Amino acid sequence: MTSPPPRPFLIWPDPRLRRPADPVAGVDAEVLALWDEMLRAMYAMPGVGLAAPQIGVGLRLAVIDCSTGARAPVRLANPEFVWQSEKTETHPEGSPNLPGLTAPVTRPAEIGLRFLDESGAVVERVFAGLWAASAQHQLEHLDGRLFVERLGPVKRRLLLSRHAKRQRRG
Amino acid sequence: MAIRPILIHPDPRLKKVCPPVEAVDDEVRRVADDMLETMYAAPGIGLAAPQVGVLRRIFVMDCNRSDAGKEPVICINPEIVATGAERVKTEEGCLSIPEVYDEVERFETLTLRFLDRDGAVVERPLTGQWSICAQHELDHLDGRLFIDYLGAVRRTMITIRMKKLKREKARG
Repeated sequence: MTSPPPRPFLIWPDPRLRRPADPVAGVDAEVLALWDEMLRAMYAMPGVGLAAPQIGVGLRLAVIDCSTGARAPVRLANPEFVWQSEKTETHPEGSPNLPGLTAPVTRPAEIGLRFLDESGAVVERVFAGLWAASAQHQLEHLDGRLFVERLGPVKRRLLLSRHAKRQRRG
Repeated sequence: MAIRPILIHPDPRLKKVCPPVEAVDDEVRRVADDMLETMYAAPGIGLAAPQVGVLRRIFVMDCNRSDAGKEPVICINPEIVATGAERVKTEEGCLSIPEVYDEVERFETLTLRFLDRDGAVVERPLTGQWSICAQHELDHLDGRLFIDYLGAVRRTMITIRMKKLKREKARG
């Protein structure tokens, strides 16, 4: 038997999605358990990344796994940018907090991140392609921002009104 | 100790009624210790022997969530000797059916009789998550999965999803 299911995804416009998350003091048993819960929620979607605020936990924790074969999860605590490429790439993005809606988003193609890994060590790592897109998407969640804010005003309104309509229909 | 691969549904070994353990010997202890290590690594809160391909009446559990790894319980030839009247519905998940959760109704309290790691008879009252987990694992020893309590459509959908997952895993 597994642990109880992961917390459900918050649905936009839940105010917790707009609140900047707090850094963690370090990587302890609680953080490890949260990462596990987040990974289970992410794989169940299935998705390629998840930030703690998306399940209502206001901490600077994220997980990413864009592998296509065997799973290769990356656990991040207190991630921050150390570098972003000038070259950009566009990937379709979506969020379980805005179920079923996606839009192409253009971001730096490669980034360098500094974060605490599962051993609690400070690591720096370069992410490229979909990994970079997902990492940037997750970091925005930690600052209380959703990918829709990267869209133009017309596109954003269209997406959010479609979301509102779906939610009303239940 | 070693981590053993966990069978994924559908697998004929998960549908078998397991025979009891005849004697609690070193081999049985080795299986049980491996099962605990496998369960903690998964991570899970319970694991039954058929889930690692051993068709014997053994399961392990640890439902102490705040202090994982601190309350391992090994149950050999377990049987329910009494249940309370109350039933509770909770969402369950299974390591042999990854990332699927659904509601199942179980007894909230029960008394379980089993042999421990030393072969001694133990009778232990269980409540809440411990009781639910014991019923879930005991079902495994009788070839029953939690999805067997769900409707046929939902069960078929889950089985199709698991077949797909197994194909993906096989491809690596």
